[in-house]
This record gives sequence, C-alpha cells and structure tokens, in this order.
Amino acid sequence: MTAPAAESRRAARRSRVTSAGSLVATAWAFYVAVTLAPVLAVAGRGLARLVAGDAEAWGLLLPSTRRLWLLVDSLAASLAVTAFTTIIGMLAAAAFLRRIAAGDGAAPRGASLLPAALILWAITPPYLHALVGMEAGNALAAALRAIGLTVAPAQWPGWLAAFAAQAFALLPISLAAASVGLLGVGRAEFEAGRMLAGRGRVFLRVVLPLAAPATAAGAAAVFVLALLDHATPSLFGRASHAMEIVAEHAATRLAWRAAILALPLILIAGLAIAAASIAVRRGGRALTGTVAMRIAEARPLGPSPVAESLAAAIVLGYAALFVGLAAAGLGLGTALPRLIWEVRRDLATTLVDAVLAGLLALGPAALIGWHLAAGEGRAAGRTVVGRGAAWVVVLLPLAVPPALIGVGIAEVLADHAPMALRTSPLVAIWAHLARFLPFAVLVVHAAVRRVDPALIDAARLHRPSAPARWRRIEGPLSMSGLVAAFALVFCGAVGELEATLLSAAPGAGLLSMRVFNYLHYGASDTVAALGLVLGAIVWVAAVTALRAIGRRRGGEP
Amino acid sequence: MRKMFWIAAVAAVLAALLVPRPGDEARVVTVYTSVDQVFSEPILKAFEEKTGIRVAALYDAEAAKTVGLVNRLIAEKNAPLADVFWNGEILRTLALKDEGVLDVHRPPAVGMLPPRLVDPDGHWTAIGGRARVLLVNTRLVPRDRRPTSILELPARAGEVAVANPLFGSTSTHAAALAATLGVDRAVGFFVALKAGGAQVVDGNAVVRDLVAAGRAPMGLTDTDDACEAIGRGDPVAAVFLDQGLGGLGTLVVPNSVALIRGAPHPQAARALIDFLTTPETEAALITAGWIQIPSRPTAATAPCYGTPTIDAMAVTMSAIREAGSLVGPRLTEVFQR
Amino acid sequence: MSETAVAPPLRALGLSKAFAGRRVLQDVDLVLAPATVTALIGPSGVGKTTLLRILAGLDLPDAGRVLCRGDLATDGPRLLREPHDRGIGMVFQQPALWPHMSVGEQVAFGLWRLDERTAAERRDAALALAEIAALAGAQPARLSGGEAARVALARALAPLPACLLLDEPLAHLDARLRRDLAATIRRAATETGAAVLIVTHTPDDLAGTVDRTLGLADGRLVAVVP
Repeated sequence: MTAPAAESRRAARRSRVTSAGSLVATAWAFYVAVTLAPVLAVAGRGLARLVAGDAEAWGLLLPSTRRLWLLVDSLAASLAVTAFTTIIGMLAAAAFLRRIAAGDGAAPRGASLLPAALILWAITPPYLHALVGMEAGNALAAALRAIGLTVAPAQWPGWLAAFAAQAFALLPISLAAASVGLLGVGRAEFEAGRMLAGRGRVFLRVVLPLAAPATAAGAAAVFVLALLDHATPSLFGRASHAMEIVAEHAATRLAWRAAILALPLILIAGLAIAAASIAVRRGGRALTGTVAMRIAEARPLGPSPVAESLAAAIVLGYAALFVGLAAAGLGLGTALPRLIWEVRRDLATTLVDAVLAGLLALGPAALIGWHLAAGEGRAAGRTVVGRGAAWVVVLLPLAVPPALIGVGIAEVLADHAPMALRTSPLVAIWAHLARFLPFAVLVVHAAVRRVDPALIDAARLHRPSAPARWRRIEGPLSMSGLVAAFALVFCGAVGELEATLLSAAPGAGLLSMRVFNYLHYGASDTVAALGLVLGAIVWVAAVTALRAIGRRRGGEP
Repeated sequence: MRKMFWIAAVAAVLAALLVPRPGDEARVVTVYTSVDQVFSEPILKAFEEKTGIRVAALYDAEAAKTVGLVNRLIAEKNAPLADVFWNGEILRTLALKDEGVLDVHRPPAVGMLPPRLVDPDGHWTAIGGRARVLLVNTRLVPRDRRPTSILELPARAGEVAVANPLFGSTSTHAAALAATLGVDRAVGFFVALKAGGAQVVDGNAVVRDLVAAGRAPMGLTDTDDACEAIGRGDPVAAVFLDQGLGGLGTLVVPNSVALIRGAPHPQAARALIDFLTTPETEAALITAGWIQIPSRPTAATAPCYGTPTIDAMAVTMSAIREAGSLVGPRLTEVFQR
Repeated sequence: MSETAVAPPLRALGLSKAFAGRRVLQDVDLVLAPATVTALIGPSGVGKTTLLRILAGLDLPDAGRVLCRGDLATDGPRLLREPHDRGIGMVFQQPALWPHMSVGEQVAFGLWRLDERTAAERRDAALALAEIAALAGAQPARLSGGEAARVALARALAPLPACLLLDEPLAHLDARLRRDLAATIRRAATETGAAVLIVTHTPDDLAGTVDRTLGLADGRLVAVVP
C-alpha cells in the first residue's frame, strides 16, 4: 500500500471512530434534554431562590406541620405497600418454586409462562387495578342484591383502597425480584445448609441473604413507584405528598414552588434507588443459563409451606379476579365495539404516540446501554467517577415525581416553544420519553451484559467501532433488549398518566386520560370497557414482544 | 443514498403525523373546560357534528378543580392556546375578566337569560346551575337530626366532609358566604369546620363517596354529585339548606362561558360559545344530570330532582368576585400552608 | 423403628430410583461401618450422585428404605427425617460456600444446637482437622480451590456426623492437593469415627485411603476387587 493510501485509510478509520463517538454523545445529550432538562429548568429556579436566601423559597422547603405530616403519611403508606409486596412476593415466589420443584427435575410445562404473566401484570397501569377493585365491589353488591340483600356498593376507607390498588399493581415487581433472587440461590448452597439446619434457619441465614440484593432492588422499585404516584391515591380521595406538587402548581402556577416541594421526594427516592443499585452491584448474582433451566433446578427454599401457600393464594386469587373481570368485560357484547368506535380518535392518537415514543427511544437506549456496558467491561479509559456520573444521569430521572416532569415540560414549552409545538402530539411523546427512556436504557444494558464479550472482541479484531459494525454485530446481538425496550416504552406510554395530564396539549385525546377522568365518577360499564381496551393494547404488545424475544433466544423466555 | 432515502421517508411520515396542515386552523376550536368530561364531551361532540369544527378540549384534574385551568389561562395570556373557557362555576371566570384574559362576545342567548347571568361588559355568559346541597347518609342522620342551615355545621364539624375551599364550586361557595356574611365570618366558618374535625378532601365527588359509604354522616357537595349517589341507590338524601323566610338561601353556582382574548380561532370560538349557551344545550345538560337548576323555562327535567323550586342565595356575581379575592388568600393560609 | 444400640451409621435397603423411564438405582443395599472410608466409582451419569442425595434425604427413592443410626429416615417416597436430622454431613461437587459468611461462620453454622462455648470448641477442632485454622476469619471469595474444598469438609465435620458423604471432592484440585485432601479425609474418619462414603472418578487418588471400593453399574452396587 502506498503512503498516501495508508494515510487516507487511517483518516477514514479516525473518522468512523469519531462518528461513533459523536453518535454516543448525541444520544447522551438527547437523553439529558428529554428526561432531565425540564426538571432541571424548574428545579434550577427553585434552587437559585434558595441560594439567594429567598424567604418564600426557604419557607416552602421547611415544611409546615400539615406538609410534614403529609410527607410522613406518604412515606408510611409507601413503606406499607413495600412491606406487603415484598413479604407476599417472597413467600409466593417460594411457593411457586416449591410447586415447580415437585416436578421430577424436568422443566414443567407452562413454567415459561410465569415470567410473561408477571410482565403483563406489571405493565398494567395502576388505575386499572383501582378499577378492578371498584368493579369487584360493584359485582359483590350486585350479587348480594340478586339474593335479596340490599347493600350499597362496598367501599373501603380511602387509605385502604389506595393501599390495595397500589399493592396489587406493584406486586408483580416484588414477585419477579424475589423469584430472581431465589433462583440465584445455588442448589448446593441451599442443600449444604439443609444438611446442617432446619428449613426456617436455612431460609433466614442462607437463602434470604443470598436473595437479598434482587429482593432489595424490587423493594426499592416498589417503594419509589408508590411514593411518586399521585394518581392512584387521588382516585380514593387520599392526599399524598406527590399530589401536593400538582396542587401547588395549580394553585400558584409557579413551577419553582412545585420543584421545591418535590425536593424531599426526589431525595428520598434517589437514596432508595442508590441503595438498591449498590446492593445489586455488590451482591447481585448473575443468573447463568436460561430461566427455564433455573426453574427446572428449583428447590423448595421457603420457610413455611403454610405461609407460602397463603401468599400464593392471595396472588392467584387477585389474578383470577382480574382475569375474571376482564373476561366479564368482554360480555359487554355490542356495547364494546360501539364504545371503541366512539373513542376511535383517542385510540388512534394513543397508539401513534406510543409507537413514536418507542421508536424514538430505541436509538438513545441502544447507544447509551452499550456505552454503559462497555465502560464496565474495561477499566481503562473510564474512571470510577466517570462511570458513577453516567449512572447518576441514567438513574436520576427515576427519582423525579412524574408530576414534576409534567410541570417541567409545560413550563419549558410555555416559555420557549412556538404555538405549533405546544399544540402538537410531540408534547405527549416527550412526556412518555421522559418517563420511560431511563427504563429502556436499563433494559438494553441488561441485555448487553448477557452478550459474550468474546463475540464483540472478535468483531473488534476486524472493524473499529462504527455504525456499520454496530448494525451488523452489536445491534443483532442485543436485539432482544431492543425489542424489550420498545415494548416497555410503548406499553408505558399507552398507560402513562401523571406527566401527561399536566403537560398534554388541548385535544391530546389520550385513552389513559379519558379512563382516569371517567374513573373519578367511579366504575361503570364505559370505564370498564375503556379499561379493557387499554389493558388489551398493552397486553398484546407485551405478548408480541415476549414471543419475538423468545424466538430470538430459541424458545427461552 | 439509501440512508438519505430512509431519513427522508421517516421525516415525511413524522411531518404528516405531527405538523398541522394549512387550512386546519379554521376548522378547529380549543376549549378549556372544568366541566367533567362525562358531561362536557357529548355536548362538544354534538357541536362538532353540527358545525364540522373539530374541538380540542382540555379537561381539568379532580384535585385542582378549575384553578389549574385558570392559572394556565393567566400564564398563557400573552400567547393563548385556548379559544373558549367553559367553567363549571363562575368565580374563577370573574377572576379571569379582572386579569384581562377574556374578550367580549355576546351570544344570541343573552336575550333569554336573567340579567344576573350576563356580564354587563359582555365578557362572560352564564347558564343553568348546580346548587350546593348537604348530602346526608340516611342511615346515620335521621330526618329530625338533619341541619336546616349551613350555620349549624361548625357545631357538628366532626360529622361533616367538605371539599377543599380553595378549589372548584366550594371556593365559589366560600366567596358567596363571604359576600353574604362578611369575610371574617366566612373564614371563621371554615376554620371552625377544620378545627372541629371536619374531613377536608380533594373534591365534591370524594365528599359524595364518603357520605355514601357512611364514613362521613354528611357533607357539602353539588347537586350533580348528590344525584350520582342517589341514582346508584346509595342511602343518601340531598338537603337544600337555608330555605324559607329569613334563610340565607342555597347558593346556585352557574356554568359560565367566555371568549379568550387573542384566541387563535376567534370565529370558531364564537360559534362554540353561541352553541354552549343555547336552550338546547342547557336542556341536554339538565337531562344528563350536570345542571339541576335551569336558568330559563325548559321542558327538561333533572334526574333526582325533577324541576326543583328553591330559595337561591341572593348575591350578585360582582359581590362574589370581590369577596372571593379577600377570602381566598386567608383560606389559603389555613388550608394550603 | 429402632434397632439395637450397635446399629450402623447408615444403612440402605432396596433403594430404587428411575428418571424419565431409565432405572438409575435398582434394589441397592448398602451398609457403612464407623471409621471406614468407602469409595464409590462408576461412569458419569450412572447414578452415584443420586444415591448420595437419597442417603442424605435431599431426594427420595421410588422404593426402599434408609436408616440412620438405626432409625428409619426414608421409607420409599416418604421423608421421615429431615436432612439436618440424620447425623449426616455432606460435601458437594462444588464447595457451595456461602459468600456472605466467613470461614468460621460457615463451619459453625451446623452447631446451633450447642451452647456458645462448646460450639466454638467444636468449630476450632473442625478447622484444625481440615488444617485451615488460620483461615477462620477469611471470606470465601479470597480462598483458593483447595482451601474452599477444606472449608466445605470442615463445615460438614463440625457437627460430628456419624456419616460423611463426599461427592467428588477432589475433582477440581491438582494432584498434590488431591493427595493432601485424601489424607485429611482418612484422618477425619479415624479421629471422628465417621463412616465415609466418597464418590470419585479417580480412585487412584484415594489409594491407601479407602477400606473398600464399590462400583455402581446398571443401577446395582457391586464390590470392586482392587
């Protein structure tokens, strides 16, 4: 090769490397702009006032008795939900594994459906679980009336109804986390303990500590989601600190006040997420092999068959109630198609917005997910501080109340955006991305970590990092993660409410907003039908994604 | 080349989906409404079918009833998105007029409406009304124990549920009481309720549900919420307070409709206001159960109440507005801080 | 059902087990005598580990009985005595050390029935027997393969089991470590009086250690003449 030709090849190589780096930088910039910029804009104004010693701002930061009590009450409610879901989730997971282990070592039929069922349950919006509760009450009252007992529809106290709706909405997260934790306990580790001590002692001293990181991650997720949720408690007339953000903004229209009010929640949620991340990083156990294989090796790890059976009964009972009410919804007959026709515009808008949000999330999620994983694989070139900062940027949006995200987006648009943008569907899409892009990054990152590094190293021997290599190597290798990320953003966008309610343009016409507005009037056939439609959309999307992922992995869930 | 083709194709699809098409503006009207979607949407759809003008509606969340929309309108004053404001009450519409957010439009219906329901300056028009009632649980509060005046409630605060008086029709009620009794007495009324253990909740619907479930023996709410509970078969009854000679009267809270100054689609906005203020629309809202007290003779009857004859509180809109501006900040200190 | 005071530490009668239609164990009888080391050999997948797991109570046979110190512990598919209640110690193919416990805590885990002082003495004795007294405070992540194998052995020995089952404990060790560990196992059997059954693919490593060798073939146990 001549010298000029060699030099031009080197230049081309540098150009490709540079373009790859530019893409990653663009992805990070997009991520920050979409997820953090709105919040930072309003929080920045609040912090500026605090730094300047603004008495009004400091008065807001130091809570009044009413607000302090509200914060304590919200924390207690979230902790109660967390405790319930963690305990029931752990016991129920142990029960299911015990049931599966009763099979004789062969992977039991239908075991691979369990993760899919949990995913479908987890992505169902919480307000649909609230609807289930209301419908169940109505059904019970109707049944009693049918046998001659005239009673008003059963109405629990607001705090109990809100607790139940949140707990059962978030239970699959705890159940999945506990399952992952229990499956991570090696068979030999458990049996070595069983050779030396009874079931309860081994559960407490061996199984729980080994399953703790995954279980703690699930508990942290439930706690944060419950704490930042203002929509579900409001359906039952229950005040929450998260709702205070909405009320303050509505009452004063000053976003910086809402941001200062949100600071305690952000701090607490951030600490919970950080603690869970550290726990997983230090003690999390990689599940080697397929989920089906791990299930096939399952052993009865739980402390008490009675307690485990009770927990399993609670889980299955609720699942049966949900499925039963959904099936009953199909009995609406001709009413259902008519309702679907009436809301066709909302339905179309919801689907288009969700698809666009999913597509827009893919590029940044893929680039950032790979970038994070690459940083963990090799210490050279990336400092601990740099890696830590990257993770803070990824995880921080998860600690922000959705209400504040909505306030931030509305504020940024009001200040800077032209009319065309303020009335376009992009507003809702922005809210969806702000909420779910961080989850998409985490999903892709988890998928990338399953890729054998030797496969990438082999590619590196032949081509530098560049879009072309990414399209042929990294992309296909992480395709299951990309499919999951798209599905997650799509399903989240279909059901998202809190951020959308506060930022959506007039006439945005999203199905979730309609269901929520109708729900304030209580359950009815209309709401049930709309809830069924919304649920059906997310379930079909999730099942489609799971099947696509399963096909890619050769049938493994 | 292929890359450029795909980029161009994606951009074209996005543009087609997201960018408004020229000529669309004349066929669109944006309305901010605090009227519950279950009631307002059928009316807006009827307007769409009649005129072919698409309605982009923004509804308000339960907990920050009306105030959220009002504050948004004030914030957008210099570059409004909304064309029309359809309010389920009147107090905040009066505040918007004072803020310079509203424009003048007198729909044809003003000739048929009582003068107190028409702004002398032409900035708003009011129709129909919901009355403030005391919803009682009939199992917990026998007939001979039911209050007859709102002034009896503080003494029985522990039995009472009331929506946050900073928002919605409850805020209008607070302003009306201040206009009638004086600001100090009105603030004292709500302070006494709170101190006496009254349940202060997010909205009138929550009050309704608490009373229906028996978790509050009685509560102040609107006639439409009360009717919802009655229609469900809940053990409740609606009591119109302060009736008869010498009584304060029951506050009737009318709906109000107004044109936004600088509306992006003024023609369509006027058409919508004209439609919303017609006797036919009012009749539809009465039949649907949103309005219970008609503002003009009508054959429509309200579910639950038929054609009620009640002694309304004698208070003008301007008096309500003036008193509201005084009582609002004081109640904010009590209930929001 | 109890037999006389001189009942053997472990006895199996007529054990049978099938997996997916394949008979892995067929009418297996086995008696282990105190302070003896018995080697169990056979090709991979023949059922050696299955036999150990049934004896330990971790799996159940289709038919047959297991008696521990004369007491009926397993009767067909019925588990009458829990694994920790059989007086059996077991070392698995992988050391199966718990990552969140130090070496000392691992070894002491099975001594919960004893008072603190006695438990500490027993723990120290097990550590000394396995020649890892210096590692009492170490974390499993810092141990070499040989050290981890000794910790697993000490953990199984600490409760002074009547019977010790070892499933290929020498598999991942080099020649020198295998010899050393084999010697330790012999010493443990002699000093504690435990009956030792050790599964191995490499019987030569146990030369001079075992008292007898059994082979498992076609589901049946046969004595192997050295």
